[in-house]
Amino acid sequence: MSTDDQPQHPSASRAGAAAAAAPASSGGPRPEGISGRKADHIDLCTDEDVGFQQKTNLFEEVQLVHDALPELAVADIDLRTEFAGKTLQAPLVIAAMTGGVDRAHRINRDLASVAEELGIGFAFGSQRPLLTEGIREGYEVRDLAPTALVLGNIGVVQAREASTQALADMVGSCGADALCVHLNPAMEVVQPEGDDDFRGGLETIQRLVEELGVPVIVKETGCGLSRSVGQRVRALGVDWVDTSGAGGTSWVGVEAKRATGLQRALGTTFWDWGIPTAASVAQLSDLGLGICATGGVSDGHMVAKALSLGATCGGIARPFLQAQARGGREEVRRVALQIIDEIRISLLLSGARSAVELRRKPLMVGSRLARWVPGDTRLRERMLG
Amino acid sequence: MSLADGSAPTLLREPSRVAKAPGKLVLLGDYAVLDGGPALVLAVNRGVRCNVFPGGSAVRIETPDGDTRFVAPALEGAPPGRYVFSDWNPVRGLREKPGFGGSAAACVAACLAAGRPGSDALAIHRAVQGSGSGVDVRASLAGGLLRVEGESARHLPVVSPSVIWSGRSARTGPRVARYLAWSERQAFLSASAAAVARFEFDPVEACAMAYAALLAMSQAAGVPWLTPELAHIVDLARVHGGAAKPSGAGGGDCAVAWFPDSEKRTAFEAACRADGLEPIAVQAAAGASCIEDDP
Repeated sequence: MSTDDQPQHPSASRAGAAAAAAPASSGGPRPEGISGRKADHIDLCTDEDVGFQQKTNLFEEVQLVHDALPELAVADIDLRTEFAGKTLQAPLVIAAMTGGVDRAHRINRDLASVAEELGIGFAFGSQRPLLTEGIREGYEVRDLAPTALVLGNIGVVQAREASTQALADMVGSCGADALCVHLNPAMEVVQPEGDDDFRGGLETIQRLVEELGVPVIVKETGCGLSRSVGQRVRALGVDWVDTSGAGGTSWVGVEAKRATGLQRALGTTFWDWGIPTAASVAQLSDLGLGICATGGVSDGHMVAKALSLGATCGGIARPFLQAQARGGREEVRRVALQIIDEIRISLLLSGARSAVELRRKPLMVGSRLARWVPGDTRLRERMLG
Repeated sequence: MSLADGSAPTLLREPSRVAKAPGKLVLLGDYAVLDGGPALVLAVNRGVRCNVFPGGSAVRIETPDGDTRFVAPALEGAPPGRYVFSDWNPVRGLREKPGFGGSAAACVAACLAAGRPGSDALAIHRAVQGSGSGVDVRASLAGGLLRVEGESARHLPVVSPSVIWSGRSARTGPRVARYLAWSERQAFLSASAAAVARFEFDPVEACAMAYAALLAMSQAAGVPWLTPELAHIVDLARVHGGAAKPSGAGGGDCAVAWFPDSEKRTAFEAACRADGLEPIAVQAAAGASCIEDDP
């Protein structure tokens, strides 16, 4: 999951309302423009309750089946996997939530250096500040993470307006291995500075798939991807997706907190909008897509459940941001190691030597999630009960 | 099947000549072969056949999809008759072509059917395609397992990799163009050559070495190489004690995999099947041939 940002709305009153409603940055005076929005996002995601209010990500509906005779040693578990063209030593991506502001510099460097050390992935938050204003704070991590999978990130609305060369330059300037293109209509329509025209998304994605030169990962921003969206982007040649499903941080909620008046009311109404993360992973079954499951994923057991549903890896954002705020790089490292161990133990206790084996084991799926599982998929065949 | 010149089909009768050209699988040296690096290419028993029905006053060409680009130049000046191209030993049930070098095999079959040297296909295929290493044509002509390096080639004892269809076809041209536009190729070429050298001692390790080199190349050069399906095949091979890699340009088509024993290979192929990834039975094939009066 990542922070998102949109074209500056022409209405000074909306922008002014956002500034008035935004929290005071903990790092000093609140910056203006995009950087100000980024500062808001960090503060809100670190300190405030911006989770979904009623809806969960539905991973509580998944139960891996315990194997009391796994005939495996912990050391036998092979967590390696491939995502977006690189090998991960464990199926985990640290999904950064920020960039484009001073504080993001230290945060992202801590996160990326841990990704490098552990052989896992690192994803930037939205890079619109880099694309449109050349703001580099928070996007320089390659010196600390020379080999890690690093994912760039831009909104489809911004990508639509940008040339492929400008996007390629943006990707190149931060050394990203692939570019996440985020879809965020729900967030945009409640954001004070948001966009209200979402045409041309498919055309933009197709252009980038054909011309960009690095893999394109289509992702949401907290509202999940449906099977229909998966099929449409797959038809364009997209290989990789990131669910960013509902049940974790509500970016609609984040924007509601920043907004006033009508935008805040809209944000309150649609705070819980979206497809739960586990449901989104299930929806994307058997489409030939490599799936990163993000959206309220908070521990390794949950990552393992996502793998069982068909994901290639899991992405975790807020717990890492909070860990960095608590104790810097060492705390991020501690949390990451714990999550990786949780994945490893989940596989062991399921009798699976690898994620590939886990994806062939039966699993118990509760009725609320089962309704999201397409009927003609291998996932459906593996479901008990 | 369409008729390229729009004429009606003649009455059914036996062909007087049948040309068969095998397809190919690149086992190692993918991309590096474009720079003259060593590569291992296996001719396989899935290729193209051309049945020749002499008669009439002109050359008439029939191909399954109406595409005559790779065969028409080879048939210029050929004796009049119908030249009917079809897949030789096609893989049943695939919706797309598996990437066994069909255009090269068709070109070779066309040359032989026309009564000209098969080696003419090298220049014809290159001229039509506009790029490429020519290893697919060379494998089709020579048969067996070829170790190709620059202009030289020699046969090695044939091998039998596990071959898995990734579920979709890939376009080679754009990938090759991206590779050739990448200037930092030397380290990749060395790594690729090391994998080829390792092959006769340990195919599993050689495959893993080649995979690592190609993966790094694809990242550095921006070549879209590893699809989720191919990545999954690689994962499956790894957990079954073997190694796998895409064959050829990647981005789809087939993967080849190697295992230390047949038990592990069988388990791997069963796992692929269970995950909707179909193993394709292939055997090494002899070189292209043309037989007169073959029923």
